[in-house]
This record gives sequence, structure tokens and C-alpha cells, in this order.
Amino acid sequence: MSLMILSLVGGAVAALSLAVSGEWQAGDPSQSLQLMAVQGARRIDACIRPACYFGSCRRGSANGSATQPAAILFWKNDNYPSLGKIQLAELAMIQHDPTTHTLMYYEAAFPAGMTSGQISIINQDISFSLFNSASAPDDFKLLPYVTGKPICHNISGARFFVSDVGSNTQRASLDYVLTFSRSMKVNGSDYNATQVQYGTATMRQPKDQPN
Amino acid sequence: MITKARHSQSGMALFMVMLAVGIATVLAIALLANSSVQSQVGSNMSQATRADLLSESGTNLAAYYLGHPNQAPASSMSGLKYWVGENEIKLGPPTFSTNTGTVSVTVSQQSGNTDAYNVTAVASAPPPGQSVCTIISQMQANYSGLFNAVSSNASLTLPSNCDIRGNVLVNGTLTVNNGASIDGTATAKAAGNNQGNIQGASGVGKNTILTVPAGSINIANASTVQDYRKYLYSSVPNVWRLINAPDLATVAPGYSVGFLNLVIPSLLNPGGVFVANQTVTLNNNATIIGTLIIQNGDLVVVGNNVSVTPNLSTLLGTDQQRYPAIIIMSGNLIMANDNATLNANGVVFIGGAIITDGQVHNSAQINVTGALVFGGNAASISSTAGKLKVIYDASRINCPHFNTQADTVTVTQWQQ
Repeated sequence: MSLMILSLVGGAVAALSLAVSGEWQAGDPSQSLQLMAVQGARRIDACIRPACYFGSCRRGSANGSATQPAAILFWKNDNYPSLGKIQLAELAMIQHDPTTHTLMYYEAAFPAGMTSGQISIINQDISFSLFNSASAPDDFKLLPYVTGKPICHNISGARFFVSDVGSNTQRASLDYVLTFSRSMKVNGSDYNATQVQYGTATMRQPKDQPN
Repeated sequence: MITKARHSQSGMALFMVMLAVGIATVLAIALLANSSVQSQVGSNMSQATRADLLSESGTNLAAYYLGHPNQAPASSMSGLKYWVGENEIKLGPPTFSTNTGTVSVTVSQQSGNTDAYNVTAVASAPPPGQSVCTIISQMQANYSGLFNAVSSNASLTLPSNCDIRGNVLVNGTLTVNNGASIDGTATAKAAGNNQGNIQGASGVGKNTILTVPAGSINIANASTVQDYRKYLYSSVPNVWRLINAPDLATVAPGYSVGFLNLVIPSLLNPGGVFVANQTVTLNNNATIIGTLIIQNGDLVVVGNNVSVTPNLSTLLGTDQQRYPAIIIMSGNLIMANDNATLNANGVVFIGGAIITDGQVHNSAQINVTGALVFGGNAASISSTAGKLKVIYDASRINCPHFNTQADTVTVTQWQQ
């Protein structure tokens, strides 16, 4: 009799352990996605807040089905002469790569050994019309020394929308929707966790439209 | 046999129970640990967000105090015209007992541009040192010109020979004598006797001295007026050079500008800013093209047809609008002749008062086209110093720091 009770208790403990471990496994992707989403939002904030002006924007889609993935080209600072004009090194772009499920950050990074004279030859003015053209996101990546680095992973879809660009009364902002998804096997079956992160990143030092 | 069998199984149940209890204990510890980690993750996110928002609040606070220095705590002004920041500022209502974190703000003026500031805000959310966020920014305070024909930092009486074409603002009691006229509104901290003619504006303030609460009037004084003795000049955009204004007193102590004497801008002083460290006397037809600054002493007008006109050379670009006509830091404007006539075509700042040399000069004239500011505590207009006519001219009043309150503060750099 006592053995029977003992086996019942043992069975209950085993079932509880199994349930708890299953819950942990199932909850892990969601929790990690949640952290990734917060981290991703903070990285977008860090890119956009110091920026000066938005250029070409591709909206993309939250489910990753858009033929042209989301991309936003922006004037990240006005550090190089001449002031009020965009130079190559003052540009940056955030673009969704649906193939690798990453959010990429592109900018021109000159090699450390380059002299200021060499940089000034490459770091040419870029007209506003080019900066704002529909093909600007593709063109920008082809410019010399423009390289990309991932700022966020596990993004299956992204949608961007800019507002108040050029406004004298309202700071320009980027509204974004990022869909994070991650698949894994839980107790032998496929489990897909999805987290949608909504956010707005607002420029803190918007400038007049560059020449 | 039976006894032996019972003996061989004795303690087995206890062992199994102990095993079950052990597993349950390990499970409970694991659950607690997991729960603790989750709690820590949530707390970290919350504290990071709090530090982020606190640092931004600190930056915004700096922007507010740069725009409204009169609202900043006096203890944090350190005798300067701007708020220098504070350590460990706690935001939120004083009734907040919870430790919500602090932000330390540092503000410093940039060299070469007295309206540009470097601001650093370092926020720390509790527990101290765990979540820290820093924002380094640069800000530009943008000042507009004056809005009043006559402003005074002390009580003022307009004598009968005053003709003011514009608004009057007095940080004290304003009295308007019989015969004086104000073609605009008259506003003061306290209304004195009004026997003059006040036109008002848009049906408001006709023959009435409007009163405003104490503390809402911001008028420049000697410590807030920009130091125009050094200025930036450029004929090529973005290539600035610092000019030291010539010191008239070192050329000729007690400098006197006489008949057909012109004081005009030069290559070495393209802005036409002239500084005297003692009393300056202006005789007949004395003409100053530029800005006359009297650091110590008075401005004595003896001659007829004396004029001071800020240099409007386009070589200085729009920046030239920022120069006034006359600044008398602490002295008086003295009318010393019956025929004395002063035509000032810009902003006139007087630290003292308008008086005479002790004689009565009722036919003397002071014509200000721009704005007149009394910055000191001894502001007054002598009734025997002749006729005072002030015509507010919006095209000549765009001088910063005569308004102590910036219109806007623009963030020019932001780094987080």
C-alpha cells in the first residue's frame, strides 16, 4: 500500500517536473524575443535620436512580404564641412534584410589609416534629390566604404513610416513595427514564437532641409 | 523467514520519501531561482528605461533654464547669466518618497559663442550605479529683439515732454505725468499716477497702466547685457574671427568727438564697436557709425545734431542686427546744452538715468529710433533734460540679451 502511495507521489512529482520544464522550454523563445524586441527598439532610438533629417523611406511590411523591404536613409549628423550639406560620411541607413532576418545599419566607415585629404576626396557632397530619391537605399549601399552591420536579429518583418519631416513645429519621427519570430522544437514538436514591437523614434536635433 | 523479509525492506519507504522530498526541494529551488531571474530581467529593463528618461528630463530641464534663466535656482547660477547645472537632481513632486533615481546636469558656455552651451546629463536609476544613462548635447539659445519702446528695471516717471511711440514696460511703479504720451500699452508691476495720454492697443489699456505680477517682467541689466567689446566678424560664411573693439579712452582720455569728427568702422574694427572706459563728450555734428559702449562714466551730449547709428554693413551679414547704438553700463546720459540733440538709431541701454549738467535745458532733444532700456536701479528721466522721443523700430531692436528670456532653445548636437 505504501509503495503504491509512494509511486503515486513519485508520478505526480515527475509530471510536475515535466510540466515545469516544458513550460520553461516553451517560454524561453517568448522571453528572449521580448528582450530582443526591447533591445532592438533601443538601438533604433539610439540611431534616430541624434539624426538631423530623414531621406528616402521604404515602408516594407510587418509580415515580411513586401517586395522592397523596409529601409530608412537619414542624415545622421552634420559634423563635416560644409555645414548644412550632406556628405557621404554623414549618411546612415537602417534596412531590413528579410533573407537573414536581420535589421542592418549601414554607414560609410573610412579605414583608420586614411588621411583627412584622402577622406575629403571621397567624402563628397550628396544632393538632397539623391538623398531623397526612391532608389537611394540601393544606391547608398554601392557607395565606397559603405558597410553594414546587424543591429538586431530574428526580425521576420519590418515596417517604417516617417512623419513631420521638415516641420518647423514638430520633430521628425520614425514610426516602426518590427516582427520578431523564432522557431524551436519543444517536446519534439515545432514551436514558433512571435513578438511584435511597435515604437516611435524621434529626432532630438532636427535641422532644416539640407541643400 | 517472514521476520527476515520484513527486516530486509525496513527503511526503504523512508528512503523513497526522502528521495521524493529531495526532488521536490530541488524543483522548488529551481522555480524560485527562475522566478528571481525573471524578476531581475524585468527590473533591469525598468531601471534602464528610467535612467534613459531621467537623462532626457535632465537635458530638457537644462534647455528650459537656458531659455528662462530667471526661473533657475539662484544657487546654481554661480553669478553667471546661465544655469550651470546641479548634481543629483531628484525629479517629481516633493511628496515623492520613493527613490526614483537622480540626474546630474552640467552646463557650460561654448567659447566663441556666448549663446551656445554644452550640456551633459548623467542619470542614475536605483540602486546607484546599476543603470546609468548619459546624454551629451549642445544647445543654442535664440533671443529675439525687444518688444517695448521703453523698458525700465526700476520705477520710472515719464515727464511731460516724453513722446513714446510704442509700448512701455516697467519693473516697478510707472507714473505718467500730464503731457506725456504713450502710443501703445503701458505695463508695470505697479500703476502710479497717470495724467498723460496712453493710447493702449486693440482697445486694451487706453489711459490705463496695466499691472502684471512681480517676477513676470524680465528686463536686461548690466550683468545680462552681452559683452559687445569682443565680437565675431566674417565676410565669408563660417569663417569667423574675433575682433577686439578699440578702446577710445586709451586713445584719448576723456575722449571728445567734436565738429565733423567721425567715428566709423575700419578694417580693424569692421563692426564699429567703440569702447570708452570713462566719460565721453559728444560735440556738434559728432557722428558715430557703430556702437558706443561706455564701460565707466557718462555720455555727455553738448552738441547739436549728434548721431549714433549701428553699423549696418552687409559685410557683417545678419549678425549685425545684434548690435545696439549706445550702451552706458552704469553711468548717465547727460544733456549739457540747450541745443544738444542726440539721435540714436538703435537700442540705447542706460545703466543710470537721463539727467542734465545741473542746468535747465528744456529745448534739448533725445530722439531714439529703436528702443530705450533703463537697466539699473536709479532709472529716471529728468524733466529739465529736454524732449525725449522714442520711436519703436522693429528693424533695429534685434539685440540679444536685452531680452533675458530666450525665445527658443535649439538642440544642435545630441549624443546618447
